[in-house]
Amino acid sequence: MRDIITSVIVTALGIFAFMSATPLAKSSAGLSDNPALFPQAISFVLVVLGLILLAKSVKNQRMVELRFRKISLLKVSSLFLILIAYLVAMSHLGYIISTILFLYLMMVFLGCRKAKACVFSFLITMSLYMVFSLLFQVPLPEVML
Amino acid sequence: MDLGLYTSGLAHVLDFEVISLIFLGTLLGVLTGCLPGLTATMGVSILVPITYTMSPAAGILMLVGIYLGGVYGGAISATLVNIPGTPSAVMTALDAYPMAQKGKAGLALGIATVSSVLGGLFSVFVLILVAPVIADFALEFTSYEMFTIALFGLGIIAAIAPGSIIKSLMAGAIGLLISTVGADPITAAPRFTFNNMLLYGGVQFIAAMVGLYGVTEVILNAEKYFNRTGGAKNETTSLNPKKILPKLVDLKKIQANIARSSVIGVIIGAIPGAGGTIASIVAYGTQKKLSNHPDEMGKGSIEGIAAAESSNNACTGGAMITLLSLGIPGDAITAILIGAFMIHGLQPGPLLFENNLDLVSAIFLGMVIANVFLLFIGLRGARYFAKLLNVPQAILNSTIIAFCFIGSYAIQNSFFDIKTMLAFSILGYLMVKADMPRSPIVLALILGPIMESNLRRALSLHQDNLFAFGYGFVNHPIAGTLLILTIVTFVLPMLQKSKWARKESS
Repeated sequence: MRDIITSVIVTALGIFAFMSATPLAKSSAGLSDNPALFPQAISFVLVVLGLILLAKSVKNQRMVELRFRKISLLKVSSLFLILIAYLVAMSHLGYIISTILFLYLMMVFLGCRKAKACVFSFLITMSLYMVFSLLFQVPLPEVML
Repeated sequence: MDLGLYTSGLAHVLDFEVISLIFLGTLLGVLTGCLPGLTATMGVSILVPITYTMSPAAGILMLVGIYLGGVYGGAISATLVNIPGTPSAVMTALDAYPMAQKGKAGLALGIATVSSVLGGLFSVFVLILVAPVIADFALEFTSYEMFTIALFGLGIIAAIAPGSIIKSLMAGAIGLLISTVGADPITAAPRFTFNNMLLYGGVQFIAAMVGLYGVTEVILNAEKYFNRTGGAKNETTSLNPKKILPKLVDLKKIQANIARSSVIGVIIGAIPGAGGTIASIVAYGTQKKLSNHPDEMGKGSIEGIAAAESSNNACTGGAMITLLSLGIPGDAITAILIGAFMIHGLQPGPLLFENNLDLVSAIFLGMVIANVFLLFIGLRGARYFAKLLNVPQAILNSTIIAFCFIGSYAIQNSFFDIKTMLAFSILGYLMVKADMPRSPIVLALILGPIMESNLRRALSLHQDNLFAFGYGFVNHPIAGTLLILTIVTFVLPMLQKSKWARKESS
């Protein structure tokens, strides 16, 4: 099952890339100055590989189950959501506030005790801020409300 | 004889700041290498950002220190908790952990340290001798050779990556496709940029690596935690390493072994696509065949540790040969190093020896220094690193993510690079779920532009005549041989497989 999904996605990706590279070819004359040559060759290989894998996994019929468990799938997706939220928060709340909040949330989510998470999220944020902002002079995002 | 290659880097290296940075890099490398869940590849990729503001020599030397330290560091957790801190320490764990269980953790770590350093130093020695010769030779390379070397490297990594060859090839092809995002190398036409100006310069390589190896790894660690059923914890401190300095008697027993394994390591390291893990497996296997006590191996024999550790550290010098003289990465870590070179405005390859000889020389000297630091850190510090294994995973993993974010942002102070990082972390996670190796993508991102521009240059030389282009391989014997080797690498396993399949069915 897993391999069938993989092969379908890869084949679709190959077809998509091939199609989106096609308009690039119009403007040029020969093979070597054709911007679409390399991407299309690769997409073609991708489609072939996808079809081989599809044929193999359909023929095998060994049902390799997806290695997701329901609970962990939910938790992993929320983990990715926390990461995206951190990115959004950073551009609005500035580096320090968003990082303290993110680290606290993440540590608690990964099973750290709340008091410990409070202390460490503050300490780590401050050390990162000092290293990057003061030592390396990276202009970190500031509060923009 | 021109000694410039060996002395012109002294000015860079004999500087207190640079020496401290090499030390710091080696230390950080050992740290990331020894913590399970933080591989050497991840260490190098998430620590590249702290070198942005340094001078190229200081930054690159620090990264080389991280690289060497990371490869060694895997041995510490392999010994103490039976988890290879980095994939290439997988063979070390076979013997080092049983020794630790017998109360000889100190001896195991001592042997691992001395073997690593000897292997590493030997490989630097070979690097210094061989790299200039190859670079000189490579100056004559045409687009044919460069194209086939890149193809060969990608082919090898796909062939030896764990799991199915088809999936590894898919990973490589996806990587090549991603490498075409941005301006076309010849006509500068925008490709796959989806009208986003920020993609015109291509996908930001370091951000992609931080996502693929940093964030993905943390997500996988977290998933392990979510799936954990019992309250199983690593038991570490009971195996407190004492008496780390190995005795001369023990060292004498393994000197031939170390020498042989180091040679194996350098050679395998220099093959584009192969790396430390393969080298240690081959060296371990060879040692088992030649050993006087083959049945002791795997049960806590110093021979096994010496073979595995000297070979995987000897790989570093070997991989640097191909990196510096050809600009071709040997494995995922060296691919990231090439990305770091580019960030500092340097293009590894034969021209590096002509234009930046002082830097090449500084790298040679820096590697020697890093290996000496490694000896010191390993023999004096191993017991402290043992304590690090007790740092709570929640805090460690959260910190790594925060580091990944700030590191990606700092590349060019842009949120777009963080988005790139997140996209690649999702890609990395899905790939792991689909059992697809990530290393071919990393190599493909570096090799893609080399392959494409050289292929098209070769085609235009023959006025786009495909037949003439194909015939060109006859006139370029190196390219032709490598092309045949690449094809054989793929056809052979498939033929063997179908033979097995026939045997099984009959």
